[in-house]
Amino acid sequence: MTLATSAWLVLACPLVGMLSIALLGKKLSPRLAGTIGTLAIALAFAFAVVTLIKLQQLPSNARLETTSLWDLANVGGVKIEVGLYIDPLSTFMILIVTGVSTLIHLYSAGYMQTDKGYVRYFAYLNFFVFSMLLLVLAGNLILLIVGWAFVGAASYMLVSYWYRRETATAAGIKAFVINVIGDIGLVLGTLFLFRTMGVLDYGQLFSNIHVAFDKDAPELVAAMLLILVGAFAKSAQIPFHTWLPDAMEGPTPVSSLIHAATMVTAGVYLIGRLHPLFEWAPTAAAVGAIIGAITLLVAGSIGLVMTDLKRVIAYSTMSQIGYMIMGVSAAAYVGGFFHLMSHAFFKALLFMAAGSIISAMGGNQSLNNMKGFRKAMPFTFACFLAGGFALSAFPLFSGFFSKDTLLYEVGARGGWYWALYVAGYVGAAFTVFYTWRMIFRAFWGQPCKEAVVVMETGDAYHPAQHTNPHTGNEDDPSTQEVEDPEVGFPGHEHRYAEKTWQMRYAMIPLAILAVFAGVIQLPFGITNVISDFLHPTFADSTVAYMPEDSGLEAFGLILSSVIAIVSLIAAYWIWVRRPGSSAAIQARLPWIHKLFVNKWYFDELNHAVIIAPMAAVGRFAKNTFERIVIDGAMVGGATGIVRAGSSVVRSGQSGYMRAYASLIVLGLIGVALYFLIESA
Amino acid sequence: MIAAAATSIKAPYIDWAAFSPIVALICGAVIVLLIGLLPGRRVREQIVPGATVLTLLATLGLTIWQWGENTSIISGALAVDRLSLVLNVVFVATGLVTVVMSLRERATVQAGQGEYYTLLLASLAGMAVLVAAQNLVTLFVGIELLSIPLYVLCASELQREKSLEAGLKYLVIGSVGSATLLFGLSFIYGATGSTDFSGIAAALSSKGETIASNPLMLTGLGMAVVGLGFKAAIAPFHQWTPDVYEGAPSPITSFMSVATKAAAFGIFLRFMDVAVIDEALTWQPLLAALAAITIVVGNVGALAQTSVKRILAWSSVAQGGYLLVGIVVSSAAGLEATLYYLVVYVVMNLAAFSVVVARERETTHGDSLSAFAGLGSKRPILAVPMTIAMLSLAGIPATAGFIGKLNLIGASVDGDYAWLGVLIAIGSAISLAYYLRIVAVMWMPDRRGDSPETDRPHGQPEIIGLAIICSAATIFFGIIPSPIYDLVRGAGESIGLL
Amino acid sequence: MVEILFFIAAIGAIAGAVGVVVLENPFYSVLSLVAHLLSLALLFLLLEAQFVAAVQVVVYAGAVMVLYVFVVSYVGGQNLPIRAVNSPSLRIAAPLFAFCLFVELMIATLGTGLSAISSEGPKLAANYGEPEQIGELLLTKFLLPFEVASFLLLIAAVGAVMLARRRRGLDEPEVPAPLGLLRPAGTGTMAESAGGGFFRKSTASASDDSTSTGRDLG
Repeated sequence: MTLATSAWLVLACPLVGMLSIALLGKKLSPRLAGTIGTLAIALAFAFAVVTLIKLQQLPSNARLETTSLWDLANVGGVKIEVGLYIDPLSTFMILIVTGVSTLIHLYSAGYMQTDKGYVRYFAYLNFFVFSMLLLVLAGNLILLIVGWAFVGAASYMLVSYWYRRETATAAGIKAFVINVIGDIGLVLGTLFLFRTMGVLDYGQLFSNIHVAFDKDAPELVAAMLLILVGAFAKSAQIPFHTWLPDAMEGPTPVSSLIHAATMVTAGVYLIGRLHPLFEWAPTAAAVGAIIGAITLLVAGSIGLVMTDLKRVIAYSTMSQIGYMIMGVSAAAYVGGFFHLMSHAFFKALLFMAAGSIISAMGGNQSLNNMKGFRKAMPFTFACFLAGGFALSAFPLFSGFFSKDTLLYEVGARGGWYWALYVAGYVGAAFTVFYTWRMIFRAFWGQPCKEAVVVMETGDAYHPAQHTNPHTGNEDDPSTQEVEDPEVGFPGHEHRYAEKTWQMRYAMIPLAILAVFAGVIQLPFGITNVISDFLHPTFADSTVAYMPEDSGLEAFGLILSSVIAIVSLIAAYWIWVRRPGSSAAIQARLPWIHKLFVNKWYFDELNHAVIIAPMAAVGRFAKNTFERIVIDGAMVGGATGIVRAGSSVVRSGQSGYMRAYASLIVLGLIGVALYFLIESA
Repeated sequence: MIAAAATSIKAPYIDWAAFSPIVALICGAVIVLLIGLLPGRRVREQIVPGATVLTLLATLGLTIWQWGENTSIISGALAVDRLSLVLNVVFVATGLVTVVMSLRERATVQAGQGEYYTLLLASLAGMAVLVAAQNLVTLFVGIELLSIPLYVLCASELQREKSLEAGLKYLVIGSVGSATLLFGLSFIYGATGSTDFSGIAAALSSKGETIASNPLMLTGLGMAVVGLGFKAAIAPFHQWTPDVYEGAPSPITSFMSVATKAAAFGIFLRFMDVAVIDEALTWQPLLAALAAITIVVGNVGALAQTSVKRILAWSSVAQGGYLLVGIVVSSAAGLEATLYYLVVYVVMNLAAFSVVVARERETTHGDSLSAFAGLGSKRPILAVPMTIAMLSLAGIPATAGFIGKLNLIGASVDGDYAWLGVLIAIGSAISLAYYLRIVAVMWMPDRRGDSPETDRPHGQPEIIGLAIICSAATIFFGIIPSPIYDLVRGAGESIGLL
Repeated sequence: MVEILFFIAAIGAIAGAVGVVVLENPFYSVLSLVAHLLSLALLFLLLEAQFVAAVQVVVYAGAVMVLYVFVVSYVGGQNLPIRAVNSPSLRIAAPLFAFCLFVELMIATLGTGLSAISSEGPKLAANYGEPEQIGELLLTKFLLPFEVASFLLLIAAVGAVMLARRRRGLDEPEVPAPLGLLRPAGTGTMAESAGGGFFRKSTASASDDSTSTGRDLG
């Protein structure tokens, strides 16, 4: 099998899986549909591994292959092919996409087994993976746009999967609208490039860019900014981010797959893919880096005040993607993609573990109601802990090395990049706080009634009536929207994670990876798997690969460790050792007791100095910025204008011929007036 | 004296080969009319449509025979070039589809098969003349030959009030449009002294004269734009479209939405890009504004409609706005993008209308959205083509509509009208709201449970076949678009655009 | 002399056209149209277009108008006034639009620098407007439009015959849609205007099964 063949097969597997599930449809038993879906992706992963092996057999300076099936267009010297671009970067991405997706498919097979739309679900899921692979493997910008739009469409279908929930369809529409805005930016940016350069293939784009444009030429910067709009929309960067938290309306495995591990990384991939263009337009790259930094801070602060478990993780995703966008825009390619990889592992794991808790809670997602799951669900607890340690960059976990590599590479560029470096470490503190707040609140303390049910009966809690977790007042059942039992989660046969083997076996490998994946790229050049592997792609970079600066690297590692450990302890104090909670008192460790004499005063101080300001920032960002500026003005305003326009246009449609004729005359008057003015 | 005059007239040379497609259509129309007079049910229901199909196939053959020609025939009345030949293919294909759709149509019985198909062929002949026209007189005669049979065809379901109303409305409003056009053409002739497109272009480009900024010329141009815009359903001259589309028999609606639009845009392209190309800087902003209005009005008008034919009517207005963008930029790329999109639009719109026609006969709900409820589980063979057509009209990738829109946006960026490209994209985003609504209605389970099915048998293999062929072509050209590129390539050069 | 004739013809043409629109009795309207067409023929004559003037008199004022008169006589209805415009905004807007258009067209025609517009008139060839020249043009330069126009007349006749020979009356009005299928207000409807009908409100039509030409608003 040649390299090209295996790459095409990677793409073909999910497509075949999707088509066979969709076409056979109701004839398939749900179980079989799940099996086909999972196997298709597993097979794609196998071919991705073959691709990797074949690629590594090539000499390191020639690790690039393009292959095409047919021409999309061949007009006037312009040739656009249906072609793939196989190099270390795209291979790296397909490995992550197919690998993580396989596990998530497996998890879904367990998680969704009582859902009525099981077959439809797997068709969507396979379509999504196909779109993402197309985006990653595309050999030119047009094909990339196709994959890009497909990913948006797939995410719309999956977010609105429980379509009888009003909130779910609204969230799906929002995701779609914002993604379409991004698509428009991407298309226009592409066409601006095309207008000057006349080519769309990556290879030709990269080799001609220095001839076609002056460095930082305004037209190039404009084109790259438009492309960045596409990247921001897909990667949920400010100001195009509000769809991501709302997209948590989808089933939890969907959140895990498309809103953590793969889809949102598309923007990072795009910037990495087009790095020769961005490096030739440093202004645009700087905009990307700054927006990434702002996002990581804002999203991190919002994560501190959310009470919905999945939304905390969603904001965390935004924040982590902010790191990656900042990194790849600042030419920290190795760190950026290393973090992309480790994030894919631990974030998928966190969502899966969250799904496990949510199913045990009978669909309730509020952190206010969760308590004491530590004993009730030890397996989930262990997984969550592994993910939490990795996310909060606890020393020696994967997230520690990846985040540090990223920030080290950013800091090594010097100059104003130092500001980004500092922002990265401030964000790291936020990360630790929201991660451990989530863990302490859900797992520590007196077990809540759902946890008690789990411990006593060994089965998930089932409320008398399922309600939409996103509407109404939590404490007042009468305000809540009752779920339609036909669609929606979870049925009465539903099991929680620890009882379903598919979910269990999907989480184990991810937990291992989340803990240990860092070893492949250790600091001080101890291991260099990722940097060596990606080197052929980024060898042409003029700004990456700064000279080694062991001092800075060591400083970063120490700073990072200190932040992680100190913040963890602080978080423990804040959320576990609250007065009035017997569980907190039980868990209180004696040496901390000795350390602070007046704990009550310290807690208050803590609250006043750290929590209150942070919460205020978070609330401001959430309520004012998001709701008013983004949702109100951008999304709400746009739909409002369309609705008003629609009624105006329709009101003119009276059916009277004389009214129609008058409008024609009026139009004629306008047209003639224009020409008369022109003739003067 | 008389003898002297007779010898002084030299009849123009007629290139019968290049003229043959139009001759075939006109002769076919007359023959079909005569056959229709013969007695017998079999004659009416089989031979007449058969003869129509033969005529169309002959026209297609002759068009292909003339492929690659680039001449001007009959004293410069007609141009046989890539633009007119491509559109001839479009017309013939639409004609064939319309004949198949009409086979079981009540209108053909009520109007009389011979007359119905004759009028159809006559309208097609008018379109062929129109898109090849290169002088003002031919243009006007062509537009009338296109329109008058259509007015009658709209009213051809003689016993249904809505159909009669559609015909009457179209006739009256169409006359306003035609009168405006004729008025404008006379102004242009008055200002330039020539009826030939080339003569007008020469008068406009001649130095030392001020015709280019002459108010008479420009007002004439404005009126001509209004008249042509009326035929092409450009806002604000679009208001007849939803009413007429809804009232006319569905095969005729389908024919109008596709072929009339193609013809109107064909002559629009030729007139703007040949006759008044030297005024481009003057008319470009105006057409750009009209395109913008059309995109907005068409797309927002389609929201909240409950009749599928009306939705498709508004959608065709919006699509007209996209097509206009290719004219605005007045470049070869723009012309080819418009032509490309026209071909694609024909295919996807015909797929949609086939399903509408089939559904109208299967249910008692006519073309209402409720006739499509739950179609996905009841009749997937119709729901899948409709879904593909809707997605393609909305411009989702991997459908032909996506490539078409991409070309138009590309042409707009290339021609310094990038904001129109943005508007196309925004319009497509809005259009998703109504296209996806149809898709959603079809695929969601029908919860009301009152099935609108009639006891009429489902057997309409020819319409289902059409829907499948057209939707398959939509997907095919979305994945492998090069055949259409090959078809339209060179159309710009053939009329002298850069 | 030419000037006097011009003013007589021009006033006749305008008065005739106004009469067509303003007179309520269709019969008088047709007669007014005849006056208008005859005045136009006179104007053509003044413009040296003798052949067109003759055709105008023979074909339009003669043949076509006689047909019109016959139709009006057959169909009757002279006593019924033509329905007034029932939209107050349109009643104001329509004349306003017409006036604006008139002003614009005046600016366009008077503002041109073309020699033919000036008081001297155009310089014409000796045989301008003679049937011989027109015939030659129709058989040479405009051969195709001429022939296509003949086909167009044939098709128009076919269409007219087809519409005229309807054997039965109208079908029963279509079954009113069930409540769930009603149009939202303002989406526009058919069957509300061609005969000067009324603008059907969606709420009203639920109980109103006469979907077609009915009452006026108010």
